[in-house]
Amino acid sequence: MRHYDWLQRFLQMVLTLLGITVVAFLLREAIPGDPVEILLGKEGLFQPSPEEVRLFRTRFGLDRPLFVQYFRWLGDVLRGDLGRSFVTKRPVAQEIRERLPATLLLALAGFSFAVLIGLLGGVFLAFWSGSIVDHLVRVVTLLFRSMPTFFVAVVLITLLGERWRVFPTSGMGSWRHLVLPAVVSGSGFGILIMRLLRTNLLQVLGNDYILAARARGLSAWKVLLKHAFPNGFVSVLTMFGLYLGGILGGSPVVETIFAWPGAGRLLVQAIYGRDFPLLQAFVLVFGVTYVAMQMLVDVCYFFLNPQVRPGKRIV
Amino acid sequence: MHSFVHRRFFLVVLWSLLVFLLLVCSALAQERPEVIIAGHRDLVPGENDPYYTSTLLHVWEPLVTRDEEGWPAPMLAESWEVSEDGRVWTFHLRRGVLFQDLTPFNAEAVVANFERYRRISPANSPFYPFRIHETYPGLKEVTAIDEYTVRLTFEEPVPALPFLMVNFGSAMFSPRNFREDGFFNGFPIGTGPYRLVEHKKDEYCRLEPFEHYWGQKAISPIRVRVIPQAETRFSALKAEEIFGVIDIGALTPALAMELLKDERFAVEVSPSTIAHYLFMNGSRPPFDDVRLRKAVSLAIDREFIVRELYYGYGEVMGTILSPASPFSVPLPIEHDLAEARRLAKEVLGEKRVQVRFIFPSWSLERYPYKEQAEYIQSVLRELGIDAQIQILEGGAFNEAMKAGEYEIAMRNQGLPNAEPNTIFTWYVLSDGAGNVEYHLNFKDQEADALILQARREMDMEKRFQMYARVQEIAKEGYHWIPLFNNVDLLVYNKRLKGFRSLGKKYDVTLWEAYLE
Amino acid sequence: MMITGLVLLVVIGGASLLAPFLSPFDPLEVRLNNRFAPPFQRPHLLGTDALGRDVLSRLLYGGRLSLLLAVLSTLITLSVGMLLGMLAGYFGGWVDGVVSFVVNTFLGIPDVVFTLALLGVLRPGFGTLLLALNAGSWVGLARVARGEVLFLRESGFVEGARAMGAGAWYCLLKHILPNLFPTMGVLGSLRFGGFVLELAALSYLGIGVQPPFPDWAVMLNDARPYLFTHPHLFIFPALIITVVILGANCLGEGLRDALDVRFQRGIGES
Repeated sequence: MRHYDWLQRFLQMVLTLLGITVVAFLLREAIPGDPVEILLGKEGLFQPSPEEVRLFRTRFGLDRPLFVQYFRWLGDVLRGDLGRSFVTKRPVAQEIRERLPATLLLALAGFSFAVLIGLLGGVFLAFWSGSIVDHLVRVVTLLFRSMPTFFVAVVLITLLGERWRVFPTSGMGSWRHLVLPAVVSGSGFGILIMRLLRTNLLQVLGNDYILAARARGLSAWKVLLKHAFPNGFVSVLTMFGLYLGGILGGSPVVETIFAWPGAGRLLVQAIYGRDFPLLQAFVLVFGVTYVAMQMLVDVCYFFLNPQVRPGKRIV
Repeated sequence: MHSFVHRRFFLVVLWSLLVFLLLVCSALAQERPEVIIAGHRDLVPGENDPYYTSTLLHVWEPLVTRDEEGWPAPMLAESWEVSEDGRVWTFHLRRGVLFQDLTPFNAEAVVANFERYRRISPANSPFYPFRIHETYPGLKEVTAIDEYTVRLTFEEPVPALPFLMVNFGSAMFSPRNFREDGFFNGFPIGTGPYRLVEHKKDEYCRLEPFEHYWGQKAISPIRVRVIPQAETRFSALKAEEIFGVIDIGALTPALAMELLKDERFAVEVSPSTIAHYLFMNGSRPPFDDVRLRKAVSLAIDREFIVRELYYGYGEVMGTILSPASPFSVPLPIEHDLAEARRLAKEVLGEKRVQVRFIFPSWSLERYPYKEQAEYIQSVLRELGIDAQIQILEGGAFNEAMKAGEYEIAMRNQGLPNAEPNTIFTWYVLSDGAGNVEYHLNFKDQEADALILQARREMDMEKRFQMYARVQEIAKEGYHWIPLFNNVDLLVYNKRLKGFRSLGKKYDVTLWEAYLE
Repeated sequence: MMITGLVLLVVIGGASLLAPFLSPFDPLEVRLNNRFAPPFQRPHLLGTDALGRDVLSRLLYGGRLSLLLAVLSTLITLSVGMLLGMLAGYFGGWVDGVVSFVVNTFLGIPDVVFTLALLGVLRPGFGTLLLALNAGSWVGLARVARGEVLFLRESGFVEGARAMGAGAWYCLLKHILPNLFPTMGVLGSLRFGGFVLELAALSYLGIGVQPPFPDWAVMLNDARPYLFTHPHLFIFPALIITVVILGANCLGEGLRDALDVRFQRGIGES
């Protein structure tokens, strides 16, 4: 791809990021409840006095018009200051930095698990499509996926953690602590990938050039890997991009159930606690990751098929 | 980021090996194994919190604490007296007490702490906000009379000072523990039987016995883990990864019941000041009519709720003041469906009326509020009241209450301190913050007079009478209908010895705990 | 395959529709003296819940809103996602720029924030519910569709068609769209299940089904405290949801089979 394309892409990315942060700012105003009262009120246990509310508002610049607040924030960010959490008063960057590694660890472990069962399962099912095994696997995996994460987690914890004591029930520590959360976190996505890959492979395998390759005597596996896979892999690749783009948000549900000290839980707490600086910083980091991932996926498209150039205009 | 993860992982593995080795050695040396308990939240909010840790962890101690009946009791202050006019309070400090950095606890330290209070107030905390003008209203001066006597002088009489100072109101730390802004410059250095030695935010903290503690020394080190989900705590208990639970909402009643079926476990019931109420919007029909409000209160079978939904763990309330307060009077609990129907008929006639019944979604994590609301809904239907249940997100719930966009709101409420005047001022006083903001619209002149008068009443007996009368009046208002008082279910493994709840002290004997 | 899916869905859909006639009890009737009745006994064939309400009746009524919303939402999400994805992928240039911008914006902001913001601005109701469910879900589909279209437009038959002077819309409709169906079928059917489950989360935020009205996913969540003590409260809603998702999935993947005979051959049979 030409340099010009790259520049264009980069500018697009910056614009998108700005857009994301602006929208986040606007949305948070729409969220019900006075954030200051919620922050000071502690689930209604206490009544902050009007004086306290006013003090808080001025101290954190919440009494200024919205666009002033936004530009102030933007200015701070460009100088490297992400602000301080309203709740803990510690620097937001520190809060996120402390929790991010745990989430990344879990997300990558989950992703690995998902990719493993997804790719292997998808290929396997495409191979044996139409058989009893195919149908059986379909029912079992869909059963799994139709249960909310919570239940899958509780069942696994009870069986493997509590009854059979194979893995610890919660917390972070050794590799054993990682297994259950990773399985729960990755299984949904893994099943999705499995079904998607199966369908795409079958779709591609129905094409004539496959028949031609087989007619030329190429083995089934070779045909699968060299011809079917690259084209059948597109959607799966896109899904990978979407998944990895969102990993910083972690899975709050999994993190809560397994007492995993990750950023997903922190994000949810920030939203419900109206901790705006933390939330805003999260959105920024989120945004960067997503946009970067999307760009990466576009590049990968190019490697799968050099003819594909996103952005190329069609007359 | 990669090396950070790598390093941390490596450190964790190394640490795990070390712990393993330690455990092996300790097993051989027959030392006491670490007591591990868990709570749903991190009890160590940290440096920028006015108290650093919860009082439950016993890292710091207050001047005044609470006894098992709920009355103020000596802690770091051995005794106190007040002048005739109620403006001067003198506290006699306990001798021979050392802070955990081995500096002596004396009047000078107390004065330094009060000076710190001024600097940090108002300060937020997940436990109780610290507001000096509420805990020490009109505080003029704090002086050290001699090494173990401190005098507090106020502008106005403060008859109930010890009640206001209980626990979070008078936390004492070493004067060397503070930064310029009054918050902490490192781990908290209190006088308690435990030292905080390690803290991983939202994961766990470790406490170790303080060897020079002035009182009964702690037996075993403790690790307090953070496990947000009740079901996970349940599993951890069963798997013996933890041996007990602590804090509000330690276990839901259903899970506690299930756990107690297992012989290995027992429970310590810890009454809390948190109680459940129905807030009635008295500023608009239909609940602007006290008769209909009374009908609602009479129709609800509180015993049923506690027995069936909370498995008997709770105390039904006839008065608005939680039984955890020593001023609470046991007013009769009424359940009379016939009378309720009669009153409703009187007010509504043959018509039916639709009302909004709201409660916040965060309460669902700890209490069976959905079933509770559905039960109340079914009961109200018989009165001709069609309640539309709305579960609202915390912020939206507060909004709705403030905007008066509800007819009945169900929520829990805790006591901010041991002085009931605070809660009466909020919800009973005609222009009380809660009363007005939540549109309860309760007005009674006698109650107003009593509440204001009691603020200056020095005679404890008289105060008691006044507060009793306020409770009677509030009850007849039926604007803030009490349902029942919460208890925390501290289920623990029987191998954990010495783990006892201390009644209305809202505390657990951590320092006596050890594992067999 | 497709038939199985269709049959399952029609049966359940029909039962939901006919709930007022089929249901043995009033799903809202609270019977405090008959709480937690075990299943497989008369008269409550599937037992009763924490307030003594008949589980079978609640299951019959519980799908009405779920199914309606899930079907509607899946259709909306698929249409919007596919359309925008196709446009972005096929035309490229500024069209892609705009669509990608919107998509990335939605992706970059956590769903909860959107939902809460909606809560703050709109009154709870059917429209709000629909909006809450769909606001963020078309985005992923659009991206996937765009990806596939990028590859498809380089394929032989599209080039051939263009060489013969076919217009953009002709290419899109005749060549590209049908090739998107398999993927969309899988994703759509899985999203369908997702919608059913999401309804529960929304009801805890004040949008969606409010108590005491039954809803499958909400019944699942209500069964949480009783997972070990009264598992039937959890098992029956879970089963029904699985069957529904199974049906949707069979339908979705079966559509692929029906649309093109070639797809039915697995590699083992070539």
